[in-house]
Amino acid sequence: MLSCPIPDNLPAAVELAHGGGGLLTSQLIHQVFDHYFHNDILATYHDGAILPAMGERIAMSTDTFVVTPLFFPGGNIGDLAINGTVNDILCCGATPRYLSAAFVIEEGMKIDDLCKIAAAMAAAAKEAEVEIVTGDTKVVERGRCDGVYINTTGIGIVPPNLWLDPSSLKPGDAIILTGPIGNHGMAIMTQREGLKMTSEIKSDSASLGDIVHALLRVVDLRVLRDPTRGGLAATLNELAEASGVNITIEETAIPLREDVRTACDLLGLDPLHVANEGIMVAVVPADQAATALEAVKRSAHGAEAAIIGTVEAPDPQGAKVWLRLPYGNRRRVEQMRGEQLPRIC
Amino acid sequence: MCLAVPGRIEDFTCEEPFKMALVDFCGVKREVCLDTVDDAKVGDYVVAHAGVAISVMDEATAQETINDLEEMARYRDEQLSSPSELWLP
Amino acid sequence: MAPIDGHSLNPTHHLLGEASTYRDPQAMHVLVERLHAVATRPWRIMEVCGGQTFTLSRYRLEELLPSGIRMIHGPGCPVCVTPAATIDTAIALAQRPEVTLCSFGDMLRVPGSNGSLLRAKAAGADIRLLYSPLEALRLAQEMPEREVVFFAIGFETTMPAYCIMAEKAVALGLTNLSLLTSLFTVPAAVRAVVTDPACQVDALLAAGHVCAVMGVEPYEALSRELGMPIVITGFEPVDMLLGILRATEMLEQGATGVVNAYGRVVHHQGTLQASAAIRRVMEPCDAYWRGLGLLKNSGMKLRKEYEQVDAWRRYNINIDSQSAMGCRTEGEDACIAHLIMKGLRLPKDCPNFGHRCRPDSPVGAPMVSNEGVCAAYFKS
Repeated sequence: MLSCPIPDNLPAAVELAHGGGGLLTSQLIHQVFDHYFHNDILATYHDGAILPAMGERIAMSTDTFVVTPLFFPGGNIGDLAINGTVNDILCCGATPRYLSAAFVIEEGMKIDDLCKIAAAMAAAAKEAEVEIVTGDTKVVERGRCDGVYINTTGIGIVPPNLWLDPSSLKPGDAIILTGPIGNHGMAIMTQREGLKMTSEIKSDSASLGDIVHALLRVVDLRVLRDPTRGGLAATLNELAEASGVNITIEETAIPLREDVRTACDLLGLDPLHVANEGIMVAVVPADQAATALEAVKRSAHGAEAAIIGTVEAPDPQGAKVWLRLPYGNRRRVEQMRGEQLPRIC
Repeated sequence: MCLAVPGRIEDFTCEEPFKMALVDFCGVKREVCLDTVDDAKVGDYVVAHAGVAISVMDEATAQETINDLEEMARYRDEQLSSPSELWLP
Repeated sequence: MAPIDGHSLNPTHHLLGEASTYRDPQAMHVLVERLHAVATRPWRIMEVCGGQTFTLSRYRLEELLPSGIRMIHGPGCPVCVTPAATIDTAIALAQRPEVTLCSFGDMLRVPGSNGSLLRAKAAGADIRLLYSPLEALRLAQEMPEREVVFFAIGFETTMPAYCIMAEKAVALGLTNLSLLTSLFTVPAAVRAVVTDPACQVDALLAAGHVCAVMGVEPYEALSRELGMPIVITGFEPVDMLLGILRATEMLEQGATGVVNAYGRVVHHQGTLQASAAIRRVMEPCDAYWRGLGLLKNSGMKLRKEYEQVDAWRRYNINIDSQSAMGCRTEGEDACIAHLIMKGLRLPKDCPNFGHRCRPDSPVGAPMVSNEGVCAAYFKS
């Protein structure tokens, strides 16, 4: 599926003219993007997508994807661009339906690579049961972008009477994490020029509709979040702040692969700060924690889920996130400062 | 300057420009320069810093440290005269 | 592993390869209990290395210690003590159109007197983040039209990598690779901090990875000179607690000398080929430490034979002593890092704290890294 016989009369690499709006642009769109994304709405060839009426509330989210390298263990920028936006819509409690996809392509990008990326997007969209209904393509001069940047915007339907709210956390609530942390960030980091390492670490890039729908069926969710950039530390600090509560998580309860832990040790990084693309944090009332965990564990991508902590009353000085260490004492979990750079001391 | 991690030498990979070996750090493999530890063999554990081995580790001494710890635990148990659950899995 | 009553410490963990063996909470528990049993008086123990300070903070070890035992955070890490003027020099080199400047990730974010290397990179300088100096040799070979400069910061631990690289660059006749050295030797700094008559440090935890290269002997001389126990200590929480325990035992017995509590990594003579490489390629020099000022014979530089790979000589750079100090150590607004590092003052006693000196514009070393005492105070 990921192999791409270069369509007839397309050159091997993208040229500036492919973004010029002329014949070459429509060739690129028809032979690459339409070829992979085809659906009834896209096939109308309007300037935009005309969508049927949906529910009384619609969730909308947008994200732009910039990643080096474009292809990494466990995925590529294409599935990342679909899964990232799908998961953001899911975190609103909505069922994702339609996506737009806009590409900024660097002159000289191999058409073959573009096909692989489009194929990965199509596969991820199919998996997530969404359609790519409108899009855009621009080409910039060589050196003006890093291969390809992709923006996806998505909309989904919010069920009536569902109000997920980051400020609704109550002392006693349980924090559920749906899978191991750090896989995506370390899969990327270990491929970087100058840091090259080999390992079995793969990006966790996945859409998590199965988990979210399973949770919505059985429990009263307070909130859902996907801990992407800034890692679990950023997500929990944001939630604690929004709700004015403390959160304490147990280090021994947090799923973490041994090789991801070692890769973090090698580069001097904290796995709590490393990006994820296929896990979620779900906060549920204490008495529903076991039911929720059970539901997540039975879902696709949820087998390694765990209850990692609880919500507590805030400190007098304000909301904080604490990590209970294996010894039994605890330390503050702070948000990352600045860019995540490998350390040697 | 501190960040140095232990790993096991899997295989020698080249001699030039540096003597390099593939070293396994708990499932993460990376090339490490062994010009500083010529006598290191496949299977040895080295501590690597900034891509260069700075020590070949010594298992016998590691065992002594663990023995010391277990001795301390035993001593403590005798002092308490009630068996500890410390070592129970 | 010797079992106790049929049970062993943690049979699934490898003695050498797995850090988890030395993060075991049960082993930590044994050490903490022993420490409480052994300590009868207050003691002040200095951990020399920033990595050890990091472990203290990461595992909150200080709150596990007997109340009388106070840890003094020592000179820190080479990134923190590299003077602002040296960073300014690196930035100026990176801004030359023909230069590709390489260094480690943590060095890139440390501010000089006007911005960091990261900021210079954002402004267009060709600055590369590398994991090993050896990769700079490959870069220089791949880009013969560029001048590759490695910003070579570090303690003894990192020197062998630079020396091996410098020797190879000379042997290969590479003319487009050089090292901008900013190298410090740990015993010199420890001596400077601890020999201050006002300094009240009772024992030292020596930095295990520096000792892995240099061996135990330099610390035997230092222990005799300072008349205090020195324990060579590793970086995992069990290693740290073992180091603190050994130091406390020696203090309680009135003993001095050196105990090696990191024997699985540190051998008595060190790693001979590594220290020999340093001696072949480098020689001692006076050095400026951020926060501590000029310390005699506390640095290392490339020998004359290696001047073709010495960026200081190649680009004819000199830093005058005034700017090298980076901060004044006398006068009303003087940086008091040297007093803080000796445990004589708290950050809030410093006139610059929170005003002129902040994590985004540090004056002294303890404000530079996340684990620095001043940075920690600033955040709390």
